[in-house]
Amino acid sequence: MTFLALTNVRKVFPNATTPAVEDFNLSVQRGEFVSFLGPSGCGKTTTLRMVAGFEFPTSGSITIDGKDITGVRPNQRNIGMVFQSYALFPNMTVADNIGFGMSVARAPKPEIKQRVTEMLALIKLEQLGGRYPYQLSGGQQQRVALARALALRPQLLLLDEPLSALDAKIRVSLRNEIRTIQRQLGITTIYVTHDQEEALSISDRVVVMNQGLIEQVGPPFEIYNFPKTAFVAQFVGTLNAIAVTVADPAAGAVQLAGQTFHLPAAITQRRAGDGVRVALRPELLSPASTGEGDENRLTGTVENVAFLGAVVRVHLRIGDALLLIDEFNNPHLAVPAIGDTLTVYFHRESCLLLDA
Amino acid sequence: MSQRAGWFAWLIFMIGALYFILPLFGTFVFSLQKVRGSLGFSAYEAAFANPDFLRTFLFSSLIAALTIVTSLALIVPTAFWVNLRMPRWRGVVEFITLLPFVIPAIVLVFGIIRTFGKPVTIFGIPLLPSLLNTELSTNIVLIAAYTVLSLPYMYRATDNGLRAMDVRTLAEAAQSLGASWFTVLMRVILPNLRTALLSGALLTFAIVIGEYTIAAFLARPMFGPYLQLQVRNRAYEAAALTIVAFALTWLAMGVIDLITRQRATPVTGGR
Amino acid sequence: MATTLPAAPRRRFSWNWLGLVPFFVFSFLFIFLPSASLFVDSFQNQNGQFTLDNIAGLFEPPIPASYLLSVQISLTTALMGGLLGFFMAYALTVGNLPRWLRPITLTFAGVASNFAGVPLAFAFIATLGQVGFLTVLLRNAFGWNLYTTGFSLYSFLGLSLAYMYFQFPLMLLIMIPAIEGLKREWREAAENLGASTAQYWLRVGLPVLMPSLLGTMLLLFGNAFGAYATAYGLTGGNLQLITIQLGAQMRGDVLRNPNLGYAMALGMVVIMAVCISGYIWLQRLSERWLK
Repeated sequence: MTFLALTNVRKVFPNATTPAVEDFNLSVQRGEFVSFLGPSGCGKTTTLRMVAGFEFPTSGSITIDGKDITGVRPNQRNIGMVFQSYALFPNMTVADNIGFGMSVARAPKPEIKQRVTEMLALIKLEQLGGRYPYQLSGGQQQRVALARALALRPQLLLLDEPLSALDAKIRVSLRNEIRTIQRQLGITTIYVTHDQEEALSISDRVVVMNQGLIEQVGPPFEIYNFPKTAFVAQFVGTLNAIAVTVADPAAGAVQLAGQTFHLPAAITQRRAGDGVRVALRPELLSPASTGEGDENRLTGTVENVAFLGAVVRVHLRIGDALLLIDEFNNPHLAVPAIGDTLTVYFHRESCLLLDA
Repeated sequence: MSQRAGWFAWLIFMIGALYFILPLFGTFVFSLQKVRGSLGFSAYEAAFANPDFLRTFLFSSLIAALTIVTSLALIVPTAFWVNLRMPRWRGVVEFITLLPFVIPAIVLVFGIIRTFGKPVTIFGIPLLPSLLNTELSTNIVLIAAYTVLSLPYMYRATDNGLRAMDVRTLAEAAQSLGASWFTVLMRVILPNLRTALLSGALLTFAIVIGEYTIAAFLARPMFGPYLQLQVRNRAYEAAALTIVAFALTWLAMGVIDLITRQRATPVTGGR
Repeated sequence: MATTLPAAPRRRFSWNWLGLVPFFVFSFLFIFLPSASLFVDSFQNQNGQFTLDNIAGLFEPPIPASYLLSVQISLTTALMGGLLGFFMAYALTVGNLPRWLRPITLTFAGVASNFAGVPLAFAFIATLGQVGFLTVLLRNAFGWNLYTTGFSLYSFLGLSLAYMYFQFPLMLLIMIPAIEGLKREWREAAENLGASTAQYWLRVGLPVLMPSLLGTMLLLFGNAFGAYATAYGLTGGNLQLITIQLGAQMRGDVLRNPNLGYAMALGMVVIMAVCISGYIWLQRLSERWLK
């Protein structure tokens, strides 16, 4: 059942010409982990802050568990928030930081102490209760911030780009930790990030945003493999976007440097000779034939070969276009050399028309 | 989330503003009252016409200028050196630049008179003759004393400027492009320090122009002691001169503010 | 003269220290020597022999009274100036006064904190003296004669008012950046955890500002303690502050024991040193927290 609902939420800042957030509609289930993903300035943080109560929507409503909280003050919403800069109180120890919410609510001291101990165990920092924030590393500070937000048993957890300030390795381990804790507690969570790998790896659903509007909402698998708009296709994952000419609209045929290949459907609203853009994921192109009759193929010259660790990326020059082809790395891989001629094969369904 | 200021904020502000403005306004009005029954600038005319005014004011300006030059010549290379060549001595140098805060002007001049009023000897070995015997040497001591007073501000301004521009990296980049030390100093470092140095210079000027204690006890014909004399004898002229002194300080501070629009550190001086 | 940067000096001995020689020579001559001479002479009697009598003499009247008076006026103006300056800084930042007021106020504060000395003393005479602007105004407009209430500008109260003129702007200048250093997220995090505005200030805001607040008040204390020109300009020799005593001693041997004068100066320096050390320590603490 719906736990958090944003209905027609719109936010226009004073003295702004365009809305920061517009037409935002979202239903989040209880216990779900939803990410807001998008480039800087797309409105994801603004939306999060409206849920937290630090901004008020210009129009629209926000309800939690059926109750309208649109106008409720932030210190009365019982929503936990983790900030990008951790925002730990520098004059208090870790234990005092975690217990802050309860002490403000005048809970009895033994209760606070017990809860703090529980939280320290949850984030696996049992020994650091007496330390001050400036004595902790970035990753440790962020875990304390998480514990502080969760100590009050909030009904909702909000995280605003919590890992942006951390090293890459810590980011990966910490995001998994956050997800584990969230599953353990079953708490409904909204996670804002601009890192698509982060969003895809830990979310139940992803909301892709651009310039204040929702582009697509769906599980990570769907967002990646079935992007609904050109923006989503280009923002999530690596994409080849090549400029081709329409050859036969009815057959869905397009031409690149004299070579023809087919899209999965007929091209409407275009005529032969028009220029369009087609998207192809690098991992869906392969030097090996798929064996099917109606597969597409393109031939070009290898311009560069890059070893990215688990993946070998070949840069193939075909006319004006540069195609990226990803293959899983293994010691027996036949890696082409620069200057070689190479033919790649791909399904019709792998093609996405960007300018539809 | 309040966006408008409450009554308390405005009340405090008005009290503070009043405190700032009243004495100045009062002095200004007073300065206009030389001719009984009417308001006019005759006090100013009389003050400026007094030859002693010009003499002491010019002398103070000269001393201020020489202090600025001395201070710059002493501080800039030192800050430069500490930042680039001897970072381990930073603590010692900074400590020394804080000493003028610990030694107020009256104690400093006391010590100066004690030390330089007679030949300087260390363990019986004569180092220097008495420096307070001649006009010239006393003036030199005066400039040195003012340089001491300006030390904290000049050093901090220069040091902040050098750190803000990451002088090590700049110098390394310039050197990798073939520049000599001199070129690095003249064409890379000093131009970027202009703002900081100008602030320090203006602040030093403000400090020296109105200074009384050291000037009085070293019996120098500076503007400070002259003003004190006017206070005793010619109140209206003194009021006019006070307004002039204030206007000058305001001018110096205003220019500092103008050129340091981007920076945020406060700049303050003597008491 | 080397032409490369000091990556790793291959020799143990380098001529680098030469570059600091002018500075050290200057400091030695004009800071160290004058202070040392005072220090040394404090422990000598008129015959040049070592003695602790001068230090003991500091505790005989009228000297302790002078120290006490100086401490009193410094404490008073540091506290009053500190509070007024802090609240004004609060009003200008968190208090949401119009933004354009800030640059004007900051410039004015910079001027006012440098305006000490004879001009300031006279400005107060011209305002609150017997025929001062404000005195006359109060008498003519409200029929209230300030001087019949026992008020005198040339008193402890009057001098305190004059000192405040450069004390509270200094506090303002230092506290505005300090208050702005309070991260917005702290306030939001506190709100998010259920705290009201008052609870935020009580539990987070003020404690984090406390080192800055206390440190700056210490600075203000030292500022007032060492002031001479303003005090002399306003009260002549009437108020027996320690700085005035020192000045009198310099003009003529009023103590009939010059070494006692040096001991007085030494006592002053010790007090100032404690203040400045306290200020530096508190600054370091606040920097660590506001990182």
